[in-house]
Amino acid sequence: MERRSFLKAMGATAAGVGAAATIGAPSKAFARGKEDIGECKSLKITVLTETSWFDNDQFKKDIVDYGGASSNQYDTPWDPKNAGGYSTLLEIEQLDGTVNKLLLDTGWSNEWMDYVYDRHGIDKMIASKEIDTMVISHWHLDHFWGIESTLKHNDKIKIYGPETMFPEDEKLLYGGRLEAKGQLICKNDVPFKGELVKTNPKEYYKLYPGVAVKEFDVPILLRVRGENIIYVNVKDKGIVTVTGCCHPGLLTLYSTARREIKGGENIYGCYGGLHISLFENWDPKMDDIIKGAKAFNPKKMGCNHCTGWVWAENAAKAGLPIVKGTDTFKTYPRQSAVAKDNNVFLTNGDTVVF
Amino acid sequence: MTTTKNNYLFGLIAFVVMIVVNFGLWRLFFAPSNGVFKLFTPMYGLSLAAFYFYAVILVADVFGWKNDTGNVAKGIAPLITSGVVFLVLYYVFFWNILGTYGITYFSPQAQIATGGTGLEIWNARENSSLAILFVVTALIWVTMIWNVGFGDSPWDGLKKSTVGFSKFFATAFISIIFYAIFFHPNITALFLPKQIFAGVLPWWEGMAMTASSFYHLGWMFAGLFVIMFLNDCVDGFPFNLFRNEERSGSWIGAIVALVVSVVGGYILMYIAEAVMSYYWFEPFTGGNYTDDPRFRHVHTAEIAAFFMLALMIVKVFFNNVFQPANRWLAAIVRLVVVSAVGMLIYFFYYSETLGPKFVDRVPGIGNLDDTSLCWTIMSMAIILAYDKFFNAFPIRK
Repeated sequence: MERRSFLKAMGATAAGVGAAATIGAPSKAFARGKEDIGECKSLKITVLTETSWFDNDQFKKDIVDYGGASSNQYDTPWDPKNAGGYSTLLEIEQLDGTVNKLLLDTGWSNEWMDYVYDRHGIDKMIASKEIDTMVISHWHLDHFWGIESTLKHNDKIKIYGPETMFPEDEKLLYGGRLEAKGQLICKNDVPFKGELVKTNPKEYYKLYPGVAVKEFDVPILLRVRGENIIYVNVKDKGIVTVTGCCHPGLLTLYSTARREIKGGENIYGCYGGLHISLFENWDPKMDDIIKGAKAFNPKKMGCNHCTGWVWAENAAKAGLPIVKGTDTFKTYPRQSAVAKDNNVFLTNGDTVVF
Repeated sequence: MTTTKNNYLFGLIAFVVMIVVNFGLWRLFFAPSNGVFKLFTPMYGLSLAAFYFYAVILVADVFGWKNDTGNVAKGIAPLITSGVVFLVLYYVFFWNILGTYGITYFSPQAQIATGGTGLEIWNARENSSLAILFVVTALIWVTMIWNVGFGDSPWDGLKKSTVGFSKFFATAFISIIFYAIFFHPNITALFLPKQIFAGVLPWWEGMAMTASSFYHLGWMFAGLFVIMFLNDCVDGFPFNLFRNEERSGSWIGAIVALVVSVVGGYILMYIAEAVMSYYWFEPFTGGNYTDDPRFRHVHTAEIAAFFMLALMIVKVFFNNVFQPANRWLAAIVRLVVVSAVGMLIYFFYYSETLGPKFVDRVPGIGNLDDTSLCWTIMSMAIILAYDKFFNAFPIRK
C-alpha cells in the first residue's frame, strides 16, 4: 500500500480516537468555500531595500551573543552600524488601468530608510497620500523598527499588521524609545494616529481587486509571532505571493492559495524573502523546498533578503525560474557582504513585473 | 514493578518540588528569552539535555550505580559522576577529540576552520549539536532495548564494573551502526557540496518525504515509549518471559525488544501522523511548520516524549497509581492514565498562556526552532536522576 493511502486509511479510523490528541478544532477540515479576491492586470514590484543588515556575521554574532534564535529581539543591543531594512513598493494595475500603490514594510534603520525613501520618492508618495496604506509583514526589527521614517510623512497612514503584537511593538508604534543593555535600539518620535488593522488568520483582507492580505499565525525566531502575506491574483497569469520573510514557507502559501483562493490552482510566482537559508548555510530541508517548488510549477520567482544566495543559486541550477537582478544595488551607498555577481537575487533598486 | 510502599502525599509534594526544580533549571540553562545561559538555540540545548539523560542511564542502568536506600547522601556521588561523564563525553570527547582529530562535523571549531559555506559559530554549533543528538538518540535507543532484552546477560554475576564496561562497549558498538545507517546520511547532507564520499544520500527520502533524519527520530522515540510502557507498567512483559533467576535476559529477549520497539514505534508514528494529517491536511515535500514532513516526524517524537514524561511522573511520583492483581487490567488503566497525563502535558506546553510562560516560548506550533523535546528530555533527566540516584526520597519507604 502506498504510504499516503495507508495514512488516509489510518486517519479515518484514528481521527475519533485522536480528537483529543491535537490542539484546537480541526478548522481546516471544515474549510469554507474558496475566497474570491478578484483580479488585477499586472503587478510591478520595486525593491526599495532588501538589505536588512549588511554584515551577516555581525548579525549572527549579535544573535548568538544574546541568546540565540528564540531570544527576544528587544533584549539585544544590535550593532547600529549594521542596520539596514526591508521595504517594497507594489504597484498594482487594475483592469481599468488605474494604479494602486502599496507599501510593504518600513525597514529598520531610520537613517537608511530615509535615504531609500528619498531615492525612490516614497516620502513624497506617502506625504501626498499616493501611498495611503502599508502592510507590515511581521514585527521583526528589520521590517518594522524604521516606522518613524514612514510616520513622519503621514502619521495617519493605514497599517495592516499581525494581531500577534507584543507590548514593545505597540510602544514603538505609538511613540517610544526602547533600550537593550543600556543602548538605544529603536525609537519612534512620531506616534501613530491612523487605523491599525490587526490581521488574524481567519480572514482575507481585500485591499484592492486582486490583492488580499492573509495572516499566518506562526511562531517566528527572535520572539515574534505571525506574518502577513500579500496574495495578488494577476489576470491570465495566476497567483503571485509577495512576502517580507515568508516564515510560513513558500509552498505552504502556494498550498493555501490552491485550497482557499478562487483561481489559486494557477500559481504564477513569488517575490520577497523566502526564509530558506537566512545565514547561507545548507540543510536537506533546502533540497526538499527545491523539489517541492517544482511540483507547483511557478513561472517567475523573484527572491532576496532571507532567501539565501546559496539557495537561490542552487534553485536556479535545479531549473526553478529565478528572476535575475541587476547591478543597480551597487549604486546604493552600502551593499550586503554576501552579495554576488551572479545576481540570483533581486536586489536594491531592481524591479520585476508579474 | 516496585514493591516498596509508596506515600502518595510525599509523592505529590515531591512532584511539586520537581516542578520548581524544573523551572529553575530551565531558566538557568535553557530559557531563550529570560534565561541565564540561553542554551536552547535549539539544537545545542537539545543535544545537551539528551546527552545528560543518556549520562544518567549510563551511570544508573549500564554501570548499575543506583541508590536503593533512603539515604539521600548516597545519591550525590552518582549524580556528580553523571554530570562529569556528560561534560567529558560531550565537550572533551566529541568536540575536542573526535571532532578535532577524526570527524569534522562533531566539532564546531573544526567546521569553522574548513571555511565552508555558512559555517560560522552558530551554524557550526547547531550542526555539531544535531550530530551529537543523533548519536545520543541511537545510544539511548539501543541501551534501553538492551536493558529490557538482555539485562546484564551474558555477564550476569560478574563485578558491576565488568558488567558496566561490557554493556557500554556492546551498546556503543551497535549504536554506531544504527547511527551510521539512520542518521549519518543526514549530517553529511548538511554541507555543500554534499559529502557523498563520506555518507550515502538519505535513502529514506522517498518514504519520509524528507531527507531529514527526524523521520527516524520519530519512530525511535515512539518505540522507546512502547518499551518503557511495557517495562514499567506491564511488569516487563513480554521481555520477562526470557529471563530467569540465573540470567537477566537473553538473545531472544533482545530480539523481541528490538522488534517490539521498531514495529511499535512505526505503528504509533503512523497513527500519530494520520491524526496530524486529519487536522492539518497532508504534509508535502518542502512545506513549513505543520505542512512540513520533518515537523510531522519530529512531532511524533515530541508526543512520544510527552508520554514518556507522563509515564515517569505516574510511575515515580504516584507509584503507577493503581495496583490491581490482574496485570492486564493494570496495564489498561495505566495506559489510560499515562495517555491522559501525556495529553495534559501536551496541552500545557502548546497552550496560549501557561505553557509558553513556564518554558519561555512564543505560543504556536510547528516551529522547528522551538522543539518541545529539549524541555521534555530535561524533565525526564531530572526525574530519572531523582529516581535512580535518590531512590525517589522520601516517597518510597
